[in-house]
Amino acid sequence: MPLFPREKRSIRIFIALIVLHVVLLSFQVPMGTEPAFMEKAVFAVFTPIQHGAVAVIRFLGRMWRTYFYFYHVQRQNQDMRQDIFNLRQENAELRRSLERFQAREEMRLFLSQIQRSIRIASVISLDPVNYRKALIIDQGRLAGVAKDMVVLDRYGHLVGRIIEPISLTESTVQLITDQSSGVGVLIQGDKGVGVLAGDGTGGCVLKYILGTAQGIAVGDTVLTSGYDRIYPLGLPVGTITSVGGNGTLFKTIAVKPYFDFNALDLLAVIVLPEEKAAGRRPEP
Amino acid sequence: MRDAVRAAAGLAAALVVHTLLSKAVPSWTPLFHVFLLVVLFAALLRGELFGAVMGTCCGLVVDTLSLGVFGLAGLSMTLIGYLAGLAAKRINVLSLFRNFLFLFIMTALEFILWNLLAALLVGQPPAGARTLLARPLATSLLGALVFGAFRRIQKRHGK
Repeated sequence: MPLFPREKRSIRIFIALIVLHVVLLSFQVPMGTEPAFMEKAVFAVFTPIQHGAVAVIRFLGRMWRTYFYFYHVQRQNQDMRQDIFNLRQENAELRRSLERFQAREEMRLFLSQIQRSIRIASVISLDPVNYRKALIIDQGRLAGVAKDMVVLDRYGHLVGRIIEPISLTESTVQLITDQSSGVGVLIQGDKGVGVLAGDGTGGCVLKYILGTAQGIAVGDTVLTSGYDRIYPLGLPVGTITSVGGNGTLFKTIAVKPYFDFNALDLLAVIVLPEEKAAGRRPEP
Repeated sequence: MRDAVRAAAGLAAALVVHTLLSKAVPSWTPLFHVFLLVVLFAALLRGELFGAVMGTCCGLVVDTLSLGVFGLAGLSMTLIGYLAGLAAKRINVLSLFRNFLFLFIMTALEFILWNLLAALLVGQPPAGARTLLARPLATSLLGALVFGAFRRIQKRHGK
């Protein structure tokens, strides 16, 4: 006769699993977003599988492009040459503008720092529960990625910031569309300063703009203000899509982020040390 | 030993499918809860205990990949894995429509449970009615099709 009948054994194991989860939750809830050791361990074990899957997808994609889309290469090359030409012009214009404000040597140093500070990252996976909250990228501590570093899309639009857990080769990014995120922003043209958070549906809401603020209109550009000491000043965030709440204490402002969920293949992580971050507001 | 290999293979398959979805069609990612499908298949094929264990494993991976309280998806998926295994023992859910209905109810239950726990523990606002309906519908439809195909292959091989 078995020591534990099959039915009873399964109930015992089930209860043990539930107790394990309750213990995990009771440890995790007071810690807030701080990752527990077990979370870090699971992250370290499973993200390499995704890494591998991404590598296979990329390899197959490269094969496809190389062998079957060869005739597109010439055209693509032409487009890219044009893009490079435009970017060079833009770069030269920006350098000239910068020269007006800074000494040449200082400027050269600043630009070389910026070039060294960008890490190109590929998205491994999205948040399985709510894809507008977070994503995982294939750059980690080995590439110098650390908590609170800023993440941009390929056009330089703000996507979010690095949040733990961070392993050697992967990290988690909190998107600006997450309801629990907060970005210090301003409306271009000195129309107001507020805090941007996600609305849970892929858009954002701009909070704490006084109801008496004048001149805010649909289509206005929202930029980072740098007051939160995480995001540097002047990064493009999105455009205002609706303004309401006139007559109340704060306006209700909806913002559509510039970044596109469906085009988040490549991202840029800014690994510039905090004090050197471009345009970041100085301490008061 | 065989069960452990099956569990690991199921988990790895869910991870790969989730990664593929994230890369290819990001906006479809919330519609298909592939991790939950693996748990429900495990419960259907191997009973409530295997369902609960798979629920724990898949749930913890989901918790790791998502931003939130670690253990939330683990708890809800363990409960659903066990419940699905128990229910599958008592009701015949092998036909395509019954299987779809069963997966729909289980996916909806898990989603409601997860939302309740999130609201209770961290005060997170619950998901909208549209998501509440769309996710179980898409997941169960995919699940029923995959399970149907799996059963056909099994029959062809005389199992």
